[in-house]
Amino acid sequence: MTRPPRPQPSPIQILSRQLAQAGLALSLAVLVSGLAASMAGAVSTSVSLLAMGCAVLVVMPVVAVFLVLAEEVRRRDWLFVAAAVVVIALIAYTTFDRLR
Amino acid sequence: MLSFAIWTLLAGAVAGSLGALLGIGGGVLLVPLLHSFLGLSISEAAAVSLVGVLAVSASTAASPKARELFNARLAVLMLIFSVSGATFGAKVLDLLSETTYERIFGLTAIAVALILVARLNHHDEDLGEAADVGLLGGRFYDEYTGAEISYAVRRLPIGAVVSFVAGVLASFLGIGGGVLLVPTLNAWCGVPMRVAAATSAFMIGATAVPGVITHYAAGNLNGFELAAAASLGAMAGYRLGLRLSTRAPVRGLKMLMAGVLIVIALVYLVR
Repeated sequence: MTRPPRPQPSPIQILSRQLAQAGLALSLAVLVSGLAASMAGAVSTSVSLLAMGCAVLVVMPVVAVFLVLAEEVRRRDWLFVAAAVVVIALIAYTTFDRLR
Repeated sequence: MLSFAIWTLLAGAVAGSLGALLGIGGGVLLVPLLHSFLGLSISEAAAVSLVGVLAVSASTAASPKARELFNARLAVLMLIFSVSGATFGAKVLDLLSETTYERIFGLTAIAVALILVARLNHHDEDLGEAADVGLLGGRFYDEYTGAEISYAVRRLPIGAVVSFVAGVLASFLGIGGGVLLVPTLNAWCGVPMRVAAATSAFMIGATAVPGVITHYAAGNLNGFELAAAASLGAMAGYRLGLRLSTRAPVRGLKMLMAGVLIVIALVYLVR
């Protein structure tokens, strides 16, 4: 059986893929730099870089949910728009509750 | 600290490989290794493991093959329950003693081992080209069988309950919950294995966020070195797992992992 043509991704889906790849590359570069700084004894630089690398990893899935939200708004499928909004609200609640 | 970081990097690599091979975050192995072998408290081990889970999820999100399989609508619907569970877990995190955590971890490890063994011979079901896949189902081209597979999502309430439990365990124990989500979506909800793995990998990232923030606020991510080592190991391990995925004896890996989990469970429950 020959492979059927793939459906064309929407601009939001393309952006989502590009952001995921850029975020992974950024977190990798920052974490490697942070560990190198740690081995070189530059403690404050190391902690800043490692915290930044971890922060990128934390932000990535949240951005992904925002992009699912944007895609469902584009499709005008309000059930899934509401679902994505609830997920974002729950994450925002924990973030502000714990970090305030 | 350097030898700790190297061991954590290796443990992260094992977790990442498992992520690519079996569709799980690997936290269920990373936490006992960090806790029992490197001497971290279970809360610190959970915090480091959750950052490793985020790295596995990010690696999957960046993989073009996984993105083709990922079911965004199913994921976002299940995330309501898993993130609710993670938020609840984060709220009551401080109320449990270290011993209680160990008991919960032991019981979870046994449950996961039993699920792995029970699903060794499970096969995906294809509804056929003409089938109505409903609001949450989909179609994808399966490279292994060379056919287009259609699937519909069934028994959503079971998926919702397991997603909630997976979220609670993510915050409590530092496991992403993929090890519960993938078999549930596959065996009970009718989602093909590879779609379930890709969808779960997306879910475990967002589900890990409340737990990571709570552990960070509680001071369980000291200096970030071990979290960074686990993440880098997970990223490297994920790429290795992807390379091995066409040749690896997945059935044998599942049996090996089930055996390791039973040993881990006994260690936590008996001591």
